[in-house]
Amino acid sequence: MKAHLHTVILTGIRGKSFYLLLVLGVFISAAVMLVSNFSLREPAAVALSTGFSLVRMLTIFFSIYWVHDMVAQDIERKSLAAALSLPRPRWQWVVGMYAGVSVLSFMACCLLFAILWLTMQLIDGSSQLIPVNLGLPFIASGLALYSCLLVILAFTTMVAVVSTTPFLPLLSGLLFALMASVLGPTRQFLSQADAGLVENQDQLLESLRFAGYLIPDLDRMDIRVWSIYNAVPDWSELALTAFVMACYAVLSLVVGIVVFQRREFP
Amino acid sequence: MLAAKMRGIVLLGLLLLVYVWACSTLLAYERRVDREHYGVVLPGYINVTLAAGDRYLAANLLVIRTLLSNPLDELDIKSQSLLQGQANVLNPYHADNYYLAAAVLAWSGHLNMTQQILTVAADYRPADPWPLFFKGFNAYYFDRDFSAAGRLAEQSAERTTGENKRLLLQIASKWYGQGEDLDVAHAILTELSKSVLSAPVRRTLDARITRLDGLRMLRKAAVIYSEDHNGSKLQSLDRLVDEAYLPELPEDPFGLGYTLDPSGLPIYKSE
Repeated sequence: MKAHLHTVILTGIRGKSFYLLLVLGVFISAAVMLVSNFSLREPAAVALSTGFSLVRMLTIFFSIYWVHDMVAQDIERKSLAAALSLPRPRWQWVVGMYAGVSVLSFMACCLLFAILWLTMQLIDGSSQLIPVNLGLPFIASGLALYSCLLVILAFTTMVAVVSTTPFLPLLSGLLFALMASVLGPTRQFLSQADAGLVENQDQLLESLRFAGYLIPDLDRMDIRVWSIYNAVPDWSELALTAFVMACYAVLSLVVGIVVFQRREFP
Repeated sequence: MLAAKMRGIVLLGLLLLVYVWACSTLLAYERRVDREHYGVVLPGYINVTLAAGDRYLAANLLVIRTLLSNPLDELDIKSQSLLQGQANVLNPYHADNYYLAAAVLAWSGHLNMTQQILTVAADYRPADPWPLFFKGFNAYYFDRDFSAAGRLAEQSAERTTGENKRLLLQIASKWYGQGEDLDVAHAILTELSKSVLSAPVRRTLDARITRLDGLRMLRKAAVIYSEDHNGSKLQSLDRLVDEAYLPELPEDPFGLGYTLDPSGLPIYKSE
């Protein structure tokens, strides 16, 4: 398992992804500074919020791309046969790949959040009634975002080891990330809509409640408001969300491993 | 060989000329601006989906979009009201959202939405006195609910200290006393105008300040008129000009003008 982990990390570092991330980090920095000019009341808050959004988008995309590149392409290129010919259980390959991409995602998060943190030092938020907090709440918000990535990665890894179509993991991973983020706000909008404004509102809400079992609500893990508006999260809700997410990630990996162990490669 | 080459060059030249003619003709066509489509507001969950599932990015984009709307255009204002309502659900902490609502929506006939946004903002931002203060001002100025206004100003004072607290308590006592204070309205509009980035919004707020200045001028002149005429009430605004209390009647930038209420007090003509 350690060998797979090392291979993934080294391949990721040697590839061009991190150079690209660095360039995109400069773009984030410029975008954050630009967008702060759109707010006179709270320039630092709007800048930090946008920065979080951009880092979130990029890390999700790169993490899913790494799974596609390392796992799905490994299967597609038939180089998997060599790895599986060694006298090791197959689950080690899956877990090693997952752990390797998780480490790469963590490094990407550290890089982009460091750039965001440095950019925020250049933005004057002294006029704000509620100053942004770039200490512990900032780190905690970053870690919460990373925990969402771990779930997205687990789902994408599961699809990658099960799928026989090369681009399915990339597409389904992106779709899953989108659905898991939109689920919470959609339920909120529907439950707050005036009665009669939306047709079949109750049925829709019931369907979304059911969807909550199939897709975890990653929106609940977004605690950036702690860093931006000093709004301390509800710890019990956060702990329960983390537990649900951990269960989902483990279940996804277990399903992936079970199918992968029975899969036959030509 | 040479002739074939020449033919090719001539054909290419002709094609270029036709292309330039077509482009200049196309540029002369005016684009049709469809106001109905501009006023379309997508449902909140679609806006979140378009923002890659990020509710805070969606809220920022919605607030930035509202900065581009024209406060004098009814369709724009209707859209702005809906967009700000969505932004309020997505990010109830957003200061620009509640500020913009207080600066534009309340003055454009969308008082319910403004009060809703301010209520949520006050709830989510317990250290911020201004959502409660604006809500109180709206209750005082638009709803004429003086006891609610005074209570809200008092609650907003509890969220601050020092000079601000003293001033807010002073305003609260004035509002409780039902005294109509146009100077406070003027100060609030001036502060709002200074704090908005959108040029059309600022222009509208400045026009409202000019309108309010006109009313203040008329009321001051009416008080002097009444004192000079042994307390008798003003019958017509023109009297103020005829009897040289004012060089001319103030102009209303919104074109509605001013009138007198039954007690002889100058008021706005209703919008």
